Amino acid sequence: MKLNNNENDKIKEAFDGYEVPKDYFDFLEKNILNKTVNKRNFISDKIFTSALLAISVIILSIIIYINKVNTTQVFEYANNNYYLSILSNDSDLYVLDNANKILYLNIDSNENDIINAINKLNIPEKEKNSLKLNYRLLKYNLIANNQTDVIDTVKTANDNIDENEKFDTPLYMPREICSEKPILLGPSIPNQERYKFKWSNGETNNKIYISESGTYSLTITPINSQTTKSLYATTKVKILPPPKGLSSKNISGCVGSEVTLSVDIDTTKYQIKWMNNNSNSKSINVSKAGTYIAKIIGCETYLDTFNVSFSHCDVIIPNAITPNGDGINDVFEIKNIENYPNTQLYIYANDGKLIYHSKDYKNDWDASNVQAGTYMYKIIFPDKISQSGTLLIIK
Amino acid sequence: MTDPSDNFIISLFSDSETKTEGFKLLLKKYKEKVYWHVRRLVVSHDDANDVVQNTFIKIWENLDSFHGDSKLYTWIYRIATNESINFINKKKSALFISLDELNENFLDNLKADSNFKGDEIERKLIKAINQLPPKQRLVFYLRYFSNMPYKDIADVLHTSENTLKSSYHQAMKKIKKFFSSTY
Repeated sequence: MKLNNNENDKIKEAFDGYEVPKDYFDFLEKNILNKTVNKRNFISDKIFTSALLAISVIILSIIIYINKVNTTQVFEYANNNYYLSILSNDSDLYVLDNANKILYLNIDSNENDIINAINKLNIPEKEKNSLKLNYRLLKYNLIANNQTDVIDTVKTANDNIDENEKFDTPLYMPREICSEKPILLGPSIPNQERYKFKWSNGETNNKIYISESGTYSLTITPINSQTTKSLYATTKVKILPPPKGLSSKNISGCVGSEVTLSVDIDTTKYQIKWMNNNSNSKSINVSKAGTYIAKIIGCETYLDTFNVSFSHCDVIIPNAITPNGDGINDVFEIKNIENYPNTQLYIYANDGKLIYHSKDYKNDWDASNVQAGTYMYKIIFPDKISQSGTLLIIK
Repeated sequence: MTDPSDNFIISLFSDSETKTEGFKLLLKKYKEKVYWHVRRLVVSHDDANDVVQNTFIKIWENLDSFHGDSKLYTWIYRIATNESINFINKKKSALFISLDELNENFLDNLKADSNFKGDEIERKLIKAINQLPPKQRLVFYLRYFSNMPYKDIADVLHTSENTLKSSYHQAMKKIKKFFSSTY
């Protein structure tokens, strides 16, 4: 039973009456994220923080007493009432006050924890603010330094890096990404919630799903700020699945001529490098037997292999003889064998036993010493090229 | 930009580092579909809002127990449907009224809903559909509005396809009848 068009329209109209408030779905998404992925588990956080603190004390004690670990003092405050330093080694940052107490450690720690710790310090407000700012910059520089493959330097809309440095937060985006699968692209930036995100494809989330190659740029603007300046970064994304149809192929050709080896892939997407002769083209011509390998370079490198052999094509070998004395096919006659003096012929029985051997075959074997059946032959030309096959003897 | 495939989303769940991103994509892809499904079941926007949020919280909390035995989308619809039914039942028992009254007062509370702009006849039509027995109503909504194949509806509602087909047929019959008597 089906509804007619009129009835379908009526139902559609009725349910179109359901409305949602403006921007409701954005609101819904934010609300749900706050109740799920952004929800903080306070108890485990506390345990984690205390564990971190305990570990930090141990690590720092080692640093202070043994003083072997290479640290750089990157920041220092000192006056009558307080003394502060921020130390950095290759992967950690930590703050010391005059009692050598650790305020913060490790680049993975929570941003709010630093701010809270700094707020508790007995130092002037102005100093606190610059400490927070410096700490954050250091922390993100550190992350950037540790992930140079993924995170690259900043470019502003006018390619002017200074513009971004005026911000209290740098925006890090990889310059280029090559992936065989769709990716999620997002910047490394502290306090993401303080910015509006606008991607070149119109999306406004902090991360975008990319399934097609292209150049994606991101502009971020502070939400609550007097300044209208934006940060801008661009990433070139290449989505390139592994090449298809690669395998090991056996190719044969005639002595004296060339065979063409070609890789059946789109050269506008993949780069080709022949390992034997440094050619970059889709196909090469070869005249020597051997194994030829083409490197196919997409996001990863793949290999296409060709096993090339050559034979004497003017030589024609029969697959059956009838030695009955009628003058037709009575002997194993290899056509044009006379062009190759000193060609060896081996004939084997089914069980692998050698039954005939000639060091210089002259088309004269008549199978008189064997019974009817299937035999194997192997011909070795003076130039070491060999050919083998089966021979049926009918009597 | 096309939505990511369910398989891609599921592949993100397996890694604790990408799980969050997977959920965000899931939310983005399904928030509107789930909302409208729930809205048709519970009628008022405010109620739908509550139920949808609970649905996605449940999905987030149970992500680890999703092993791909069923399709991702039928799993989501199943949670949304169960949340809606639980909500309706809770509201029903909280109000201490009969099912008929419930339909009058609750599923037909369109008059009070500022988020409904239809006219009187359209209200009546929705009321008629909402007066279908629960199973017929569910099948009708899933089949008619979400274009779900019977096989997937069976997965969502845990019933056999044949039962569903006959429920859908019954629902259609009643809606036809409503049309012939009203227009």
